[in-house]
Amino acid sequence: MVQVSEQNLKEIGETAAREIMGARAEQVEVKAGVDHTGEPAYFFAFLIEQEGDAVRAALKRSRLGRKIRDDLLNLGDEAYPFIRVLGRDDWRKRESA
Amino acid sequence: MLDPRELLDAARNSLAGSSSSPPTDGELRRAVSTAYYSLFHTLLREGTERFIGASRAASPAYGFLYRGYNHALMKRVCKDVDKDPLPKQYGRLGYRQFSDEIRTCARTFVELQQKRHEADYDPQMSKTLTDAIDAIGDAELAIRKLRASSAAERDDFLALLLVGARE
Repeated sequence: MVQVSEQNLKEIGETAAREIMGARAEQVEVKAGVDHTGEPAYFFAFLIEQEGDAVRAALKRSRLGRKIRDDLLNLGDEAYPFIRVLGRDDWRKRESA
Repeated sequence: MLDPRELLDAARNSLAGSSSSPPTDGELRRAVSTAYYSLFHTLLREGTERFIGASRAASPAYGFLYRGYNHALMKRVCKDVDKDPLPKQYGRLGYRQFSDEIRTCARTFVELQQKRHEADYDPQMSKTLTDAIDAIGDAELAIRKLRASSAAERDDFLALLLVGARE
């Protein structure tokens, strides 16, 4: 299985965020690992202020995840991308945790 | 009879906390976990009502089929269903990919299952209020998308979640 480089992963995330969320992610962080069943996974975290409507925001996160997955599959990488979108306050809390 | 909508309400209620304090870590974790289960049980109920019938909800067959769904197989199928094109073992479907509605539901299932596992078993993974609100929004979106999908395609998806695809 192909594994995309860390730099390329960040670029994929940044491009997808710009295209789907309509906003520039202030920060993108990606960690490679395994999911809860031991399968390869990427854990993407985006610092983006989301819109207020919960379902519309969920739709954008879903499309963001799909776009990243499609891009990864096109590169031959089967690792599953999990998506976390945080605002500034939660991002800071996460960094200090 | 378990009503998945009540689970979604319970997830929301667990975030209400008291008027003077924000939700505790335990309440945030419970909300994430419950959001996953609201989607999980929605899929089980939709599938069982489709294949056994709502009018037979008290029958043993209904219970057997409902309990026949399992988390691991559902995750595997959902990962496949969210691919374009679908893997070759799905060739009998006769279409290249599932609709946006089913793909969104499938993708959300995989995401929420992972987040539920972190919430229930990983003491070091902190959950924020945003994580909990997003998990509830994700579950609500997935349920809406499932119900907005075509009946024929939904049948295919619900059957695959139960038994998987064989080549």
